[in-house]
Amino acid sequence: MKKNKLYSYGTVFGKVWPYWLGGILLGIINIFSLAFTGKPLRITSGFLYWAVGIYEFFGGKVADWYYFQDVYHKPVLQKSFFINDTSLLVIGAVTGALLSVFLASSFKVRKIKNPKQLIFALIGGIIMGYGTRIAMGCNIGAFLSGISSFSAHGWVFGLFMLVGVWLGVQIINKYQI
Amino acid sequence: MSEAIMAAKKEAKRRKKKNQAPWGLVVLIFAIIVALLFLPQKNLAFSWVIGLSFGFVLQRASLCFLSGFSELIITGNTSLVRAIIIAIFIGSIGFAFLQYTTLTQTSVLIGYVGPVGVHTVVGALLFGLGMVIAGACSSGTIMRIGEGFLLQIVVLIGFMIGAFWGARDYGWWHDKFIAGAPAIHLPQVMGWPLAIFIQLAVLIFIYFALLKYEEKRF
Repeated sequence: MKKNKLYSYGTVFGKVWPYWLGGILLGIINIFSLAFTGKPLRITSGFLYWAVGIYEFFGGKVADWYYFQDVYHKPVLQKSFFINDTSLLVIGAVTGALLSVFLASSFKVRKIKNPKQLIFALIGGIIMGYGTRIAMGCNIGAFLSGISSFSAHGWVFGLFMLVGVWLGVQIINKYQI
Repeated sequence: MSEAIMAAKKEAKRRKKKNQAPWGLVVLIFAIIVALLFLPQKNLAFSWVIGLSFGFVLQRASLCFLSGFSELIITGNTSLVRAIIIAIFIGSIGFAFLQYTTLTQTSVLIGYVGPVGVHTVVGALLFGLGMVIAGACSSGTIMRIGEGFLLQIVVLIGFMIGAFWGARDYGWWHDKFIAGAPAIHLPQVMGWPLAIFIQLAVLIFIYFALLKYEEKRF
């Protein structure tokens, strides 16, 4: 592979792009998302829809949940929980990451190291997931897109997410987890 | 760890491994087929393509929000958080234009403007804490699954359980906090010029404050 050539395959797909470039592109993609799909970037609503879709597959009913009376979430009841704009955005993102990794030839199945890691991943995921529903978004929907939408909730979310991370770091340090 | 070392490590790893670009081509063809398949439903096709580029950029620049926030606290390296500030800065400019034009033409406010209150604080705290425990944020989870990490599939399952649980409890949170909380769209409070000016100025201030903070820590 040729080295240090600005537009060679190796520089574009083989190397990690600088963070600032990623930031610029992320901002532009978010604008495109709002302009062409009518909604900003978001993720966790997609996760919820899949969970609810599985629940309904096994006979559960969610149509009477207060959550789905919300104007924003009601439309999904008329569609599929798996084939909708948010779901496609999220699956698209996984596919895009996969594409990037393949082009850099760095795909590798990385196994879970130990049961502790597995339990932490599960518990951390549950805590995050719960948080996203009451705060209306995650680091993308509430923080990135919320602030970009000039919403006060985005700023508050960002600030307290930082506090949450700080708390988490203290706990992990204290108990040497 | 500096970006250069990380990049060098990745480079070295890549050289050792087989060329996977043909698989990339397979994924690309798959992506194009899916896009064509959804073409009749423009919104779905657009969402798919935007998702693809979103994931691609996240992975290519290894934009991990959790690393950004935790490095800010642990090592004092702010380059990732500053990149996120850049993303918000650019996003704000485009969103302002799109929001303003749709608001004046159709009087519909687009974007995410949500009610802010106790629930936002509690939810964000939980999210930050959970992020550290799980070792991933939501965009990081997506990106790592694409990279082949099995652990992030577990995080995803956790996410789905937690989001399900939270949506089930939503009625309670709504009654107690959300119903009484105002959705504050800054331009409607202080007018467009001032809101845009203040938001962009604050973002620039945070950017340089982070730079200063980083210099102090190193």
